[in-house]
Amino acid sequence: MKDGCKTRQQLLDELSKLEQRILSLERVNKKLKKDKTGLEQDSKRLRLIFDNAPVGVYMSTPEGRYLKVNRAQVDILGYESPEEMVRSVTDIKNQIYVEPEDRDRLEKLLAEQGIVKGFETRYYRKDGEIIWVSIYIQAAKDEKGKVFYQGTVVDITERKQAEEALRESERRYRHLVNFVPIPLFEIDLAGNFKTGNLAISEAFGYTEKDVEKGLNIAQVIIPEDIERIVSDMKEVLRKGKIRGSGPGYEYTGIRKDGSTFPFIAYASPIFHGDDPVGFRGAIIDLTAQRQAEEALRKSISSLAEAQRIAHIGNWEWDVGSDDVYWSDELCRIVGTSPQAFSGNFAAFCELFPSEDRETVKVAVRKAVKEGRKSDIDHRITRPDGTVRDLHQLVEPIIDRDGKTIRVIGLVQDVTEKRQRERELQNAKEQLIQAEKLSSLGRLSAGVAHEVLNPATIISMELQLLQKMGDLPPHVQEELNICMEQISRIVTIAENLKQFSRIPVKHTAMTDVNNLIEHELNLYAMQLKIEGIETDVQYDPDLPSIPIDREKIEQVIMNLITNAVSAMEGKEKKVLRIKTGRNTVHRKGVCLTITVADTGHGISDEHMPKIFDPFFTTKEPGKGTGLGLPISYGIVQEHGGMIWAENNEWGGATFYVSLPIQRDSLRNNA
Amino acid sequence: MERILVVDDEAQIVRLLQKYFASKGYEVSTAGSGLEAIEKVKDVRPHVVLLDILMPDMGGIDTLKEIKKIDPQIGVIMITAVIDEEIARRALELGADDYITKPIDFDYLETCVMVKLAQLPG
Repeated sequence: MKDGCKTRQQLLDELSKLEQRILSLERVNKKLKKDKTGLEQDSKRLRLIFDNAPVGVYMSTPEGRYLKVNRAQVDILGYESPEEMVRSVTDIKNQIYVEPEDRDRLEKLLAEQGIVKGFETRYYRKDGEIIWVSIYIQAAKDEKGKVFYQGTVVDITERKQAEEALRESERRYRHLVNFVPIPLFEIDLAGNFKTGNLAISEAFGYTEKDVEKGLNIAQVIIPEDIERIVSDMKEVLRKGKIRGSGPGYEYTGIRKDGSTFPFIAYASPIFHGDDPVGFRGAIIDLTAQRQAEEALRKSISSLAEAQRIAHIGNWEWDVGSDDVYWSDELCRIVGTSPQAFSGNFAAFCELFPSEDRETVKVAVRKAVKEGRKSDIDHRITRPDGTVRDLHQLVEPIIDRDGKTIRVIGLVQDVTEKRQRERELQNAKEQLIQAEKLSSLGRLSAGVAHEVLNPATIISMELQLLQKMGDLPPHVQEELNICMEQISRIVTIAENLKQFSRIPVKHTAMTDVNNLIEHELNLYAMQLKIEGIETDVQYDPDLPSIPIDREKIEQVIMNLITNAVSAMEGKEKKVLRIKTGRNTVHRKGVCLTITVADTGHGISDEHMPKIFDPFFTTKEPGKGTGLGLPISYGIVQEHGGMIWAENNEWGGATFYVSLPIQRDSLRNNA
Repeated sequence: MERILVVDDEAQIVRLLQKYFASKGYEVSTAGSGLEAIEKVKDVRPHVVLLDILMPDMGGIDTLKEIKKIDPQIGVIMITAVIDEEIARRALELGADDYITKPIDFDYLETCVMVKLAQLPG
């Protein structure tokens, strides 16, 4: 080959290579151009994004100057333009940060983490207004290797305000809840208290701190109720989503100090989505309510008891509803059970025997029509047939318009009282009768005797006449007729004498000591008033004897009364009563009662007359003078003896001897 | 001679009884009251006393008691106006021998007296 001369082929090859080189260079150039454009476009795009980003974008120096800020940043911080901002902010830390320490903290975090997201702090705007911002910051190095910061800033003031408002609202709400006087609680499914207000801690005697530290319902309920509360919780869950509270559940709570109290809990489940996570609710302390209930119950019971003791029952008829209410005691009085009564006025009236129904109806009618109360007495026949005497007060209850809206009745069972009254009346009548009879009897005896003497004389004269003999038959006949008439007179006199007897009604074995004691008790008050001492000596071995108790009581009463009267005006008043056994005059063994007083005694002149009817040493009007004659008769009728003697104390002693065996000795000669 | 004492506050009765028994041969003394009767008993010591029960001052029963004190042997026949069981019983317990009722039947009474006299010792 030739030197320095390139062959055509060589030149062609070199040209081809050159062309290719140019092509590739053109390609590179095109790419470069494209890249440049792209870059330019990117740069433009970046610029656009940068400029128009809705968040503040910035680049800054650690020293505190802005390198670049976008429109948004400018707006957030209230400046005129990016240029102005970059120019005027020379110390970000102190000009922009409300708390400069925050920037230090931020830089520290940045140094540790390289990126910090969501850093919240407050900035000053140009005009001094404070805003809340959230910062995203990243550290980078420029071409020269110097560190700069870049990132975004978002104005979160509104959010922050909303948060604050919410917090404030929550605070207010919490405050309210805390101080509401109703214990409120939230518990989880295991029964731990999640929250509770002041009232609930107080209710159970714990402090808020105790609740915070951890409190479970098992600690505040008595052991006996724990099983039940668990099953109740299950039941509440089973019922599902309940709006508001269901029925309340009652338990007995136990306080920190160990004291217990009843309460009722209202609760509903708390759900997260579909899963229950606990319960929230309230409790109400039932102590006061229970106390009120108890007081009411006691009051009602007292009333019922008072009614029972007084045997007073009450009924109430509500005119409008025709309902009749009546108390337990009334049921007892009437002899029905509360259930047996159907409850309206007509049925109520049916309970009274027909004669008395009208009385009751009249009283009720009066109450309804005239608004007047009545006082009525009537009887009632109980279902078992017994008859009771009732005394009723029927009163209307009148409303403002003067109309009777209710009628109430107070019913008292006065059967016993009436009975006593009747018995007393009976006894009085009997006494009067006995006295009458007795005086009559005494009189009769006197009359009989008086009549019989002349009759005897006539009879004896007639007998003498008859014995004279030689009497013509017709004379004899007349004499016989006379004798017959005498017989008649005698019969009449005998009848009169019979009349004077006080028949013994019924004898019963009686403890005489007991009888005397009973009489003395009746006199106790009077003896006390009169200032009379009593000296009583009972023979403890006295047997019971068959006597008419009432009659002998009358005798003792008579003797005591006389003793009391006898001692009137005396300084020392002593009533001495003795019982004993002794033998009397061939009567055999007798029971002798002695009643001695310290009165004035009985004069010799009066002594034989004391058992005479109507004999009395009292002024006219005081004392009938029948007491002793009657006593005499009674004692006689018992086969006994009664007599009096003056005693060593200046007064009189009366002796009453009653045979211990009634079949007295009739020794025939 | 059998002595009888008649005691009754009714004068006519006393008179009649005395007349009757005197006519039968008895020596009859009389008394119009219990007290008088006791005096007469002490003085005369009759065998039988006819004694009325109802007398004003000292009743027949009390008189009976006294008489029996003086001489328990004396026969006493009580005369009672009407049969009073109690008094009669008591009289008998106190020692009376019998009692009869008014109006007095002379014959019956005399029989009682005879019986009593027969019972007396000596």
